[in-house]
Amino acid sequence: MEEEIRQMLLKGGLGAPPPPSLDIVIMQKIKAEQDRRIYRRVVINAVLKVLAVFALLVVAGAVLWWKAGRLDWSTVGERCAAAGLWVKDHAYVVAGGMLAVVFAGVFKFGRE
Amino acid sequence: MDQETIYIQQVVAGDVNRYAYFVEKYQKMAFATAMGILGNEADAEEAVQDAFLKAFRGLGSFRGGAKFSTWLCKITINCALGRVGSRGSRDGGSRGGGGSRAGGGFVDIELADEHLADVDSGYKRLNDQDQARCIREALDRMDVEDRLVLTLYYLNEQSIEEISAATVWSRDVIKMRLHRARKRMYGILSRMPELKNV
Repeated sequence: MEEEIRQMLLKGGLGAPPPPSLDIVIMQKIKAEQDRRIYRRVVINAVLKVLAVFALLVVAGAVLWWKAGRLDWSTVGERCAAAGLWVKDHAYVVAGGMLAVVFAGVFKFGRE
Repeated sequence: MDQETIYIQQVVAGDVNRYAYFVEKYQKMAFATAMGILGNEADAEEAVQDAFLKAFRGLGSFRGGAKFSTWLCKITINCALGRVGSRGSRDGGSRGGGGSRAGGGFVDIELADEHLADVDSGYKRLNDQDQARCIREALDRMDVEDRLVLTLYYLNEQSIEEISAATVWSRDVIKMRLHRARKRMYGILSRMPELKNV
């Protein structure tokens, strides 16, 4: 009985073998997915590294400034505002520089 | 630790080529499952591709509580059913549209056990082409669930436990569905003129 039904289902088109190229297509998609994952991770790593370096530079600069005794707390707000204005005036330069560093990171790590 | 678990760990660690082992081993089962639900090769092929891709994405969260084959089967069923849904809303669907259609000249009948042998002998007297056509028509008129349970049990040769793990059905429900699916298939065949007149 079981074998009869199995044969009937096969005759009805169920249980047909998959197309010969199916496994190749699946593996291509899997590899593309893996590449996307790696690329995403590389971009995130590069952005995080740029931010970390930037934060480190700011902190190091502040410490050096303070050690040199040139840090005048009464004018910190003013200086920050001036720095902010400089960044605003040179936004394209700053954004371009950051992007260049990110792409350099992606280019370097993306080849690994 | 079995071989599949080791391979899964290797894939998760980034050795994507190891995944070819699973594709090679389970593509036939996945394709048969999708065909059982969708009934046409193009849709089944896409559903299987989706299923393997989803399994790959979720491999990191696969805890090994069930066998990989059962887990993949479950994903394949969901992908194929998703396509039935979208196809149904698009064109009403042919196979996989859901159920026997009384309007098409057939009613949803379950043949009594004593008539099964009559249908069987009538069916055997048909030539190969007519047999194939009759079965295809009968499958077209069956519910998705009926075709699915027949495929999983008879073609994929999965146990009741494995089917239960891959679907949301209990063991008793599966047994009942199998019984009804068989009788429905014979019931639909019994109404076909080719089998009536032999």
